[in-house]
Formats: sequence, C-alpha cells, structure tokens
Amino acid sequence: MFVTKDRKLSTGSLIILIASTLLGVGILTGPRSITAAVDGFGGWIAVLLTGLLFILIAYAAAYLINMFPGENIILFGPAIVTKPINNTICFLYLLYFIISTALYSRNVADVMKLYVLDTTPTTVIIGSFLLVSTYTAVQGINVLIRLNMLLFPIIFGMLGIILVLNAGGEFNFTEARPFFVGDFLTYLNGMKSSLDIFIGIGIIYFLSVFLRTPEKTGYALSTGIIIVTLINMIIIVISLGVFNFASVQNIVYPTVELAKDIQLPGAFLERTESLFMTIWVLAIFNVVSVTQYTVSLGISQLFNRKRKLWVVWPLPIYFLIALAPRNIDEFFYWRSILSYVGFSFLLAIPLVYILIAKIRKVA
Amino acid sequence: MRRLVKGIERKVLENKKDNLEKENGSQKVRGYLDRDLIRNTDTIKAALQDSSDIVTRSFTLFDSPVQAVIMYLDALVDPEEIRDHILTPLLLEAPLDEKSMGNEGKDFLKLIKNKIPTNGRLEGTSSIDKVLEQLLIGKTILLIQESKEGIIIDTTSIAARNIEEPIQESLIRGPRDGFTEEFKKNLGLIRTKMKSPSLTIKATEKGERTKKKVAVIYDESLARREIVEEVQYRLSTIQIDDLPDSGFIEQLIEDNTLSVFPQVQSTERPDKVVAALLEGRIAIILEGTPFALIVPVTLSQLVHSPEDYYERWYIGSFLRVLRYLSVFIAVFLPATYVSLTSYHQGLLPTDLALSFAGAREGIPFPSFIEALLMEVTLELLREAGVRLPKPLGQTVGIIGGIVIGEAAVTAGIVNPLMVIVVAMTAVSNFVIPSYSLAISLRILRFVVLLFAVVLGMYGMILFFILLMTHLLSLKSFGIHYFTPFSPFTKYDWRDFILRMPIQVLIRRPMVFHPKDKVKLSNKETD
Repeated sequence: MFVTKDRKLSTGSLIILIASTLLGVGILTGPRSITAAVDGFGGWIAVLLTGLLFILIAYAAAYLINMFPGENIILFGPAIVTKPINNTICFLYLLYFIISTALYSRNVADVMKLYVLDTTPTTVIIGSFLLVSTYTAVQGINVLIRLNMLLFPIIFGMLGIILVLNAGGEFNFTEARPFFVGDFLTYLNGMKSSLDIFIGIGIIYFLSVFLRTPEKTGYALSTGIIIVTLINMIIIVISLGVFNFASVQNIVYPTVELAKDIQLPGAFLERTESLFMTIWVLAIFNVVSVTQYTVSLGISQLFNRKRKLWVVWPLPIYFLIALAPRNIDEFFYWRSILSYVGFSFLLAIPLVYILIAKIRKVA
Repeated sequence: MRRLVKGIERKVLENKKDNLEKENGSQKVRGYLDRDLIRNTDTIKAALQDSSDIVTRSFTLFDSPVQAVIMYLDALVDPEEIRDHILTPLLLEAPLDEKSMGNEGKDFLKLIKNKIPTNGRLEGTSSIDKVLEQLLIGKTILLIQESKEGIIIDTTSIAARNIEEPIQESLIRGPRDGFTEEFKKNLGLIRTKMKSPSLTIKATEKGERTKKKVAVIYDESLARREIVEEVQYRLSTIQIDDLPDSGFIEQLIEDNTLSVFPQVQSTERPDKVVAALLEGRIAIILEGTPFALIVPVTLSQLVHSPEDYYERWYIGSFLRVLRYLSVFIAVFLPATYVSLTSYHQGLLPTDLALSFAGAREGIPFPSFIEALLMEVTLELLREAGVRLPKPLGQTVGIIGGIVIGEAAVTAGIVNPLMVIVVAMTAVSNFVIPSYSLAISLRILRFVVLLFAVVLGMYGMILFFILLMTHLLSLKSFGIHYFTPFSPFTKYDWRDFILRMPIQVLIRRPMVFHPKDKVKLSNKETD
C-alpha cells in the first residue's frame, strides 16, 4: 500500500524527539541535585554551561554521522574499528541504555509512591509502566515520533502553566539572587550533576539510520538541547525564587512542590501536584519508550534478529534492574555513576571514531 | 498416513482451483437447450431441484399447433406483467400467416419478440446456466417447440420497502431519504445525487451460494488509484457462502481485526456517501442491506455529522466541539470519578471532597463496584431497549433509568453522584453519530475503569498512552486513522474540531490524497 511505509525522520521531528527524550529526565530532580552541587544560586549557569558543552558534543556526533549518511554506528563502525571491537562497544552502550532506562521506570515508581499511590506495590507500578512503554516501542519509530509530537505540547503546556503561575504568584526575586556567585570549580561540580539531563542524545548514534537530512543533525540536536536547557534553567531559577536556597536543597522533588503551590481562585481542582505527576509520567514515558526502541533496534542489528521480539525479550531484565536499588539514595548513586558512563560513551565515540577514521582514511 | 493426508489436501486444493477456473470462465458446463420442449422443461426443473415455486405453463402460440412454455419462479415475478405482456399477446393476437409460420429459427423468434410489449430487456439464450441464473432473479423464460433458443423476459418484481428516513442517523436538517435493501434503488439514490460522468460503479457478485451484488463506487477523477485498487483487491479475497449484511464485508476487509475501533464507516444516508465520494473516498454497496460502507475513514470523521455542514458554521462548530467533549466524557468520566474518590481525594477542593464523602456515606461498596454496578445496569437497559419493540423500548428506558436509579439511591446501594456520572456518560455516548464508534467507546469505558481502579490517575495516564499509541499505529486502507491530529496535516484542521465557513474550505481533505485537490476554485482566499 502506498502511505503505510515507514517514513524517514524530518529535521523537525528529530528536534521534537530529542527535546522530549531529554525533557523528562532533569525537570524533577534537577533543581535539587544541581543546586546542592553548586552549593549556591548559580545552578542555572551550570545547566547553561553543560548545555553549551553538549551542543559541541552534538556537533561532533553529527560530524561522525555525516561521514556515513544513512547508516548508524553498527553499520559504519566495523569499517573504522574492526567489527568485534565495534560490536563490543555497541553492546556495552546498549547495556548502559537498558540500565538507565530501567532506572527511569524505577524513578516513576518512587515518585508515584511518594505522592500519589502510597499503598500500591512498586512492582505493579514499574511493571505496568514497562508493559505500556514496550507496547509503544514495538510499534516502531514512526508511531514513537508521532506520539512524542502529540505528548510534547501537553507536557510543555502544563509545565508552562505551572512555571508562569508560580512566577506570577509566589516567586520572590530576591530569593533567586545573586545570580553569579562561586568560582569555576563550583560550576564544574554543578555541571557534573547536570550531565544526566543531556546524555540521552546518545540514541542518535543508533537512530541515525532514519534521518532524512543527516546534514542537519547537528542543528536538530542542538535545537533540542537548547529547548531543554532553557526549560531546566527556568525551573531552577523559579524554584529558587519560590522556595529558597535552603529548602530547594532539601526537597527531593522541588518541581512537584512548585505544582503543589499553585492555587487558583475558583479552580475546580486543588493540590495540582498529582496532575503534574501525570504530566511528568508522560515525559518519562517518552524517554523510556524511545530508549527501549533504540535498544531493540541495536540488538536486532547486532545479532540479526527480529526487532519487534527484541523489544519484548529484555523486559524481565528492565524489570529486575528497576527493582535493584534498595532505596532512593542508592538509586541516586546509581544514576550519578551511570551519568558518567553515559557521558564517556557519548564523548568518546565521536572523538575516537572520527580520529581513527581520519587516520585510516575511511569515509 | 501423513502422505495420504497430504495427497488428499492436494486433491482438495486442485479441485478448488478447478472450480475457480470454471467460475472465472464465462461458460459453465451444464449444456444447452434442446429442440425438445419437454426435455428442456424437465432439465430446468431438475436443476432447480423441482422446487414447488416453479411455475410451468404450456400453451399454443397464436392458436396454432406450435407448443410453447413459460417458466418462472412464482415469488419473484409480477403476475400482471406476465398476464398482460406475455400471455395475452401470445395467445390472443391474430394468428400468424402461413408464410412466417414456415420460417423457423431467427426470424420466427424475432417476430415473437416483437409481439411481447415489455419495457424490460428481452434476451435470447441457449445456455441452460444463463436460463437458471435469470430465473433465479425473477425473470420469465419462454421456450418454444423446435427452437434451440429460449427468450428471457424481464418480469422481476421483488418485494421491497420504500425509501424511508434512516432510523439510525436521523437529522434535524438535511435530506431525509435513506438507503433500502434494494441494490438498484440504492445505486439510483447515489446517481440522482451525483450526476457526474466520472462516477464509477463496478459491481461484482460475492457469496459462493447466495450471489449477492457488491458495488465499488468511486469518483474516477478524485479517488486515488492505489486506494481503489486496494479496496478491489481486498474485496476479491472474500471467499464466503453468504454476505447477509455489509458488516460481513467490513469485518473481512478491515485493516486490524484486533482493534476496537471501526476502521470502516457504515451509513444509511446517500448524502453522506456522496459527500464521501467527493472527498475521494470509496463506497461499497451490498445487495440486500441498507448500510453502505465508506473507506478509508479517520477517527474524526466518525465524530462528524452531515448536519455540521448543513447548518451555519457557528452551529456546526459548536456541535462538533460538544461532540468531541462528549467522546472524552463517554470514555473517561466514570474512571475519573472512581480515581478521584478512591485515590486522589486531595485533588478536590475541600468542600467538594466533603460533599463527595457525605454522598458516599453508608454505601457498602467501594466506588469501583458501585460504578461497575451502575454501568452494567445501564448497558443492560440499553440492550433491552434495543431488543424490545419501539414503544416498549422507551418505556424500559424510563422505568429502568428513573426507577432503578432512584431505588438504588434510596436503598443505599449507590450514591446519587454515581447516578449522575453514569447518566452523563450514557447521554454523552448517545451524542456520538457513529453507532459503531459509540459501542467501541462503551467497551473502552470499562477498560479505563479497570485501569483507574488499580492505579488511579496514573493508570488513566497509562491507558491514555496505550490508546494514543494504538490510534497512532492504526490505519484504514493505508490512511492514518488519527489524522489530522497526527500525522499533523495543517489544512485539514479547518474541518476538524471546528467547522470553518464553507468559503474557507477550499480544498478537499488532504488526508485522502484526492487527485483533484481544489473544491472551490472561484475564490482562493488564502
């Protein structure tokens, strides 16, 4: 039939894909961890600097992808670093994706238990979430993209409403100041804990097979990064202004508290944080389903298997990893370690591959 | 043993192939008419299993010694037509002169044909199969002694209902005629509403045993070739004894049998079919049912009604917004109520939460059971109302709705809020113009209720994602089901949630990729 074929991704849809894959990660925990790391008011500067750094990385990644348009790391890798090495790297990278995705679904369960479903077992929350995201990931990249496009305005709009209402209401400008404090080292500290907002862009190494305009990858990636950077910066500044430095450091999920704070005169609903929770579930859902898809794509290419089945088979692995951290501290510890792992993959792949490709003159 | 089975299988397959080839070939192998009149009548009678509704009347032509026989099936013909237009002229007309009597063969038959003043088609044939086929649709066959050719006379008169207002899709404003069971009349209704030479009607016969006509109707200058071919291909794969209703075709050709959503639109309204044809879509009409099928279809079109276009655009848009809202209420309202009362009491303002709690005081069931109880009652009432004769149906609705609801509240089994919620849901469901979509949403309502009771608002969000994923992956004849929402087609938003003024709707919906995109070419305002 004539319109049913899977179409390649346009630049616009890549932007949305990247933005919605990154958005869910940082908005909930970012304000606390980054503020705690810089130990001051300059959290937004740390995010900005990290964003800029990732734009550079994005362009490096785009450069690598552009050397082999229409292929992804599994296809062009063997030509650069022999097949065994490349396959090992890809496999480890996919393993990293599996673990980080599983932890996101764990995060959903933790937050849900904390705010909304206090008596529901964690296993049920994680299990139902993973089942739904698997169903979506099975449908393929086009459905995923369209779902992202559909959910993005909802997430974006809801966040916007929360931020605007807070900025207009409880926001106290003096609490958010001074903007520029601390030396470079504290910002570096902050950047370290804002890494995990952006490391999701690594999916591009695998999804680059679907790009309709590979030459615009750098632009698309950086636009997505800029959107996410701005949103995260605004959230940090506003949560500092609404609460204050000391409380932000101690509230586990300051953004939820922001949502809790809203009180509209004559509003039908009170305590909108459970409404915000649901929106955030959508955002995390984007991350998890897209990564699950990427993993299945990678596995199917590496081992020459049917993709749809390989979304489903690793499901127990996701589930067990998600249950592994014993408490929230352990969870955050795992995530900080993973953010370094992911960052090293993200950074090393373009640098090493481009270098070797130049030396061996592969293109 | 296995080899034996395989051998049998192969034989069966070969037989099937043979049969197919025979059917595809124009001539079947039952033979031809004979010169012997009695043998002919016997052969035909035997072929029809000597059924009791075969009428055989022998007579002599024009008072001459030439024997003739007419045969017809009693139930399918118009007796007056036979008396006035076949028997009267052939029995009573002036006898033929000697000269023409001597002429056998073609000239003689021609003469007889000229004597029969019927307004239908007259046909000569010598194939027995053709004779049988024509007898079965109500024609009369005239056999003459010593002639190898019989004459088929059109005397068909099938009992049929008149054109009436469609029951399922009644409108306040708009054409009142609806399709009937009669194939020809239905095609006529479409032709009279669309006098275009490019209107194409391609009829075939379906149903191995019942031989029902199926027409694929489209506008050659609008409908996309690929979709037409796809429809024809899918129809050609149908191998079934009988097609009692177009619902059979719908189920046999739809894209996803597992989906709860209708992927084919069915309608009783010719105006709806014509509007669809003008959008470059394809209609399928089956003999013996007033329901025409329209493919491809998108979800939004199932929520639209022709009235949106017949009324002024403010009214149309308002009604549409109302209908989209009702879709959401029909699916999500009971679930929202259950998740709010059993998980997120905090979400409600204090006063409201208190009044909710007050209403629920003394109710022995959790709100999920309460909701399920009322919903099931409602479904039962609705089904009872449909099954019962019309006047009784309404009574059941009133008795059931008011009496049971009131009694349940007084007895303390359900709280009044629940009754309001269920009633709201039911009313919203009635608003949806497409019956099949309304039923799908009724089913979904129970699913989302289940999600809500297990996981509260979080479960509802999961259900929402599942629903969206399903809708996004669903296609109707290669057209995305969820357009224009996603994939986003900007132009089609003019006729989506709002119905813009007709002057603004310059183009046909882009979703269906019509060959000729422009509908109003005189004023290009944008």
